[in-house]
Amino acid sequence: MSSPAATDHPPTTPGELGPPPPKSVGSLGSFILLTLRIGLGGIFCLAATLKLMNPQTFWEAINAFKATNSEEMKLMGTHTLPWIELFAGLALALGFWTREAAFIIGSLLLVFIWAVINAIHKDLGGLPCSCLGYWHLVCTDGVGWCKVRENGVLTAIAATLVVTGGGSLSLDRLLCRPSPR
Amino acid sequence: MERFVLRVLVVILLGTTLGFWGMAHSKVMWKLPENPGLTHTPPTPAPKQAPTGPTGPTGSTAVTGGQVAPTGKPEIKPTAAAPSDAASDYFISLEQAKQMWDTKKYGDKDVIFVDAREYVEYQEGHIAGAMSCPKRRFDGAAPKYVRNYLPGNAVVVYCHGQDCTDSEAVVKRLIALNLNIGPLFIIKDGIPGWEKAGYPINKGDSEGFVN
Repeated sequence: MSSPAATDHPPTTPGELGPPPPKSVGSLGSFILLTLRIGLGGIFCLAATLKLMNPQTFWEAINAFKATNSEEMKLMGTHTLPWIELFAGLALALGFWTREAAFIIGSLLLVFIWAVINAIHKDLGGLPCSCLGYWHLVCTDGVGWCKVRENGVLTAIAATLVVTGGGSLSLDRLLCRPSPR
Repeated sequence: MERFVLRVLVVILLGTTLGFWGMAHSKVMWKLPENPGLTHTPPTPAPKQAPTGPTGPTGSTAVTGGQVAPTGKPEIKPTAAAPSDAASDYFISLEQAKQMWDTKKYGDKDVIFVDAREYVEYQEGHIAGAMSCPKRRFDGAAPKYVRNYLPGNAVVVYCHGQDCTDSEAVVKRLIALNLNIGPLFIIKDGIPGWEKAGYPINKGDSEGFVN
């Protein structure tokens, strides 16, 4: 692997400089990222906790969506999804492995969007979402296009965090900071 | 890039491992289990007198499909023409429900009626003395009043009738709590049948069951 440092003079042209370093967001930007991280991560932690507390309700929600006929798949989803949500949500809120956690949450949200659209096409509109147990974010009418938009906004937030990372107020930044000599 | 993929896989693997552990210990019910309240044999000996007609609020005679049976404990059997799904195992007729409502007893257990519809519908009219407990109240932790009042008691659940699945959902959730709630029954004709039969209906807020 060649290095610009191999030349006799310091790099001056864009070709010699290599890829530009990621732009550092300001303190306001970091604060916004922190808010987004805690918001999105917190929502997923809450959703996961509720599902883990009452797997029967979550299984019935999966069953009602009619996304799959396989009982094993439903049972696996019932027990696996909440744990993945919990770990990813916790990591995102703390800013630990932020991009990876945001990627997982974004992927899950895309799956949820697909499940909701699938349910709408099967005339299951209005079906209770059971996404956040007894609580709602914005949409109160159960499964519908409002839910698709709501999940779309959350996916956009997750995508933003994949691109930007956790910002300066994150464990990632704290752990990557070079130790003083 | 490799590190990114590796970290994603670590999180997913961690979640999946715990998920499989959860599956191994899962108590999720795919269908309602066989109703123990319907299959037990009454422990008390049968009285000598022959059945004479519809039962009154005595608690000493039993109902089977609306007929009197000579047992010391209500012997509830599923009603005829019930749907083929597992919920039919829990169905009782209006007469059976009314008898339990009159006596407030099933064997040596107290009977509590549970309204599985939404609270607004409960306020518009419910079986007198029933507890309101819509199925979505079980999202997350079960309501405190369920934990306080239902354990150790027989429970009769109802909603809009035979085609309404809310009663079945509530029964599943009550079984899943593992709080010794039951036996559990579902009024096949629901509140419309109860109302049509002219049985006692109350309107307004929750009766006596407080958090």
